[in-house]
Amino acid sequence: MNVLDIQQVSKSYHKSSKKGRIPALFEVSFEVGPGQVFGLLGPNGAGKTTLIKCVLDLIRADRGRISLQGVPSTTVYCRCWVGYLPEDYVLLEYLNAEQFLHVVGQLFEVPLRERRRRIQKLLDQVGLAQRKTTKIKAYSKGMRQRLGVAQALINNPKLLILDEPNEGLDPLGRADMKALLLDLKQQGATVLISSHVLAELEHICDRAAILNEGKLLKEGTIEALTRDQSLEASFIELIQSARAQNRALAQEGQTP
Amino acid sequence: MKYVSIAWSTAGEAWSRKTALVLAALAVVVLLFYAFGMEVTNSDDPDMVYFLVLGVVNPLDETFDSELPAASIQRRVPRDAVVFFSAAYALGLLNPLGVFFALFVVITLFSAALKKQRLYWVLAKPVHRVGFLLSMYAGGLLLVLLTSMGFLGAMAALIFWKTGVFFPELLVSGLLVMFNFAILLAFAMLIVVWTRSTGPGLMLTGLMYLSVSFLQALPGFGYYQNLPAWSRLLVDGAYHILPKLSDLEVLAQRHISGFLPAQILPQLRSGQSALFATSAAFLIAILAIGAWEFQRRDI
Repeated sequence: MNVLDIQQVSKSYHKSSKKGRIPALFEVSFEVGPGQVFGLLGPNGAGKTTLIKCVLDLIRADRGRISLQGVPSTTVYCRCWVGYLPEDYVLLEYLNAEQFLHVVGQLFEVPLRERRRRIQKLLDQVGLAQRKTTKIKAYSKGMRQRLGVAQALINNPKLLILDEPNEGLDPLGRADMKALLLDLKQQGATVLISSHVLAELEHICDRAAILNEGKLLKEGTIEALTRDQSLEASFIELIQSARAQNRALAQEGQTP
Repeated sequence: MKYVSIAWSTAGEAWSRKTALVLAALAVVVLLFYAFGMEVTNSDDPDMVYFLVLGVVNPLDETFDSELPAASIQRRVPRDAVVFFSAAYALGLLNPLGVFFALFVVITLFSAALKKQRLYWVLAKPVHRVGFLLSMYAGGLLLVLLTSMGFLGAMAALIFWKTGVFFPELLVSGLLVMFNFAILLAFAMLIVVWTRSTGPGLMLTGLMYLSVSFLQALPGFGYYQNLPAWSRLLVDGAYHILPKLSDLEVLAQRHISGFLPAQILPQLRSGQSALFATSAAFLIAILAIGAWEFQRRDI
């Protein structure tokens, strides 16, 4: 059974000033199997974050079906299996890392003894064990991001969703994040990752989907997507070709 | 457990903010002032007591009978007056100025917690949206309940220490103030859920508070008597639908000032059971609308 199954998902938003709606996703479909690291690629505004929010029921799709382990994603219970690192988030700054992970563990109703064990393990894994009693407000961006990954892993998720995990990180932070992701991959974790840093995704992901303006342009294994060039080159070629096609359709007066 | 955790972390976060510390510091200053700065037991001047009673209970009521038998007050000074003054002072800090200050503390927190960046990681967990919202509401109430009960409890202890009078009515009045606060907080939370902004939440809640105070006081004005029947029906209808915040305040004052002659106290416009029932119905309706809106909207 697929861990994540997305079928014909569409979503549009109300325009703020005019009548009508802005399409954000249009009939997007793909699956993520167990143990896969799946890359969700696309330029800014392609609909990656919207799709992730639909998976987590933070926003509701207009049409289509999303299921996690065969259970509709609108069910609160199925989020017990998901770990999520948002692109832009605010943690409980007045707590330290250990206290914060206890709060997150309580949200998953992890028993106290097990929670303590997991927190210690996770803090070691993300390299924050030495700073676990420092208040989060004193953390650097990289440390916050590592804590973000730790909170996403506290429930031993069947699906880990990472939205732009490298955003705002310096080269050292990126290297740490890459090492962490490779470690998770080795452990057999199922990961859905959205990122702009294609060179790194190329070495981490098994499969990827490329979105542009809410439409799925291509989906497949990394080998199938790249062929004889890098992922970045394939991505740019695909996006430019889609944009040229959209421009041509717009000139003919048709909706892209 | 998860909802208790959300409520507790809401209260905890509020305490970590400077505004909440200001609230606590104010209470401590008042307590210290009362404990060491006032020679209350030496004051037996009936005029002073008379002034304090009128100033605190009914400062704007010009219809008060100035022929109030001073002797009857004099007989009760200094102890009862001191008790009354202390209690009224305590409630004065909480209501309405203190209530709005507490509301500011909690609503600032809600508005921060209802920003997308915070909601993303919380609502991506197995947490029901309605449960999340109500837990935050409970956390805000817990914060103010602990603050106000701690303050009033300390005040009651000081009164006992200074006068030998045990005065549990002070705590009962505190609970009435809490009920008022719960209604205002629910209303402010609904506005914050809609707008995700502190300003409109506080301003509209203030407007609602002023409106219900006006509706409660309106029958006392000649203007009201001259209104056409349909206008009076409209005004009375609005009064009965909206929470009876002013009446609840009057009830709190009555609890702490039972020794005073009835004519100097403001009158209740509704019976006590109607007052509680309609206010509670408003509270539940507002919470339900807030929860429904939060449940259905995109984050």
